Amino acid sequence: MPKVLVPVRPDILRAAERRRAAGVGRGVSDFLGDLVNWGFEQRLRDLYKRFQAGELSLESYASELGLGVRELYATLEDRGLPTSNIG
Amino acid sequence: MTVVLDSGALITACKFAVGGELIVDGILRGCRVLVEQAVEDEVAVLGAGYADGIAAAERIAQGSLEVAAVRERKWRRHLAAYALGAGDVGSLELCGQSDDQPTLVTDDYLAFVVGTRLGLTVQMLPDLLVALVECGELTAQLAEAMLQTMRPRYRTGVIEHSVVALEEVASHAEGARPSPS
Repeated sequence: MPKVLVPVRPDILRAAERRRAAGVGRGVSDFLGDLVNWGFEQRLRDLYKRFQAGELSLESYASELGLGVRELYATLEDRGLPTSNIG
Repeated sequence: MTVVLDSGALITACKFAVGGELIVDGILRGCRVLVEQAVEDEVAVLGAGYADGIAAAERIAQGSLEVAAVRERKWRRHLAAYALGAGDVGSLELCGQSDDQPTLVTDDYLAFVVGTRLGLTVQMLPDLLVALVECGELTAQLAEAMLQTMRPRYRTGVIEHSVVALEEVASHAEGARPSPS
């Protein structure tokens, strides 16, 4: 898995550390991984609405997410979503 | 018939198969198929980790799928403000520069609308299969099986529409056949 640097607000980081210290949370890196995934899922859904409305093409949608078209195609397919927005 | 496939249509055509034959090979039997360079990059180069990306790359290497470059971007200003990708724009421009006026094959709403506004002939991939049956390049049975296998990639109604169109084509062909004496 590639390593990426993600700037995180200190209060969010401290909250994650407190949760872990209290035994109710996992490691900070897992927490941050979840945050990144939630952010991606949210962005995927928001852009899918725009794609469905015909505001942007599949290629443009992929580009907005930082993915290639084929990766986005697979991402939508995994979620059972059509890759065509006509009809 | 010459067609230009955009990236979404090319992926679908290279991904789904009936009886071991990819949809793209059925299309290649009846059409000259062009892909723009940015579409090749997206599907066959960046998509090389997928079986359909390899299938596209193999057909490009064999020359059955032809990669074509855009010589002149005559619609640069028309297209500038749309949220289209490089392959979408290239495919539209490619259709506009070719002498044999190829049909743009796309399953993308924005590309479909923009292509229509530019005066191009634009078809969805399911409609291309129906057209190939109409001109005798595919059997209706094979085309229907192709439509059914790629159904999950489309919104409800699209494949149903194409199946009815196929039935009409078959019915016309039946009516045109001379009755046995």
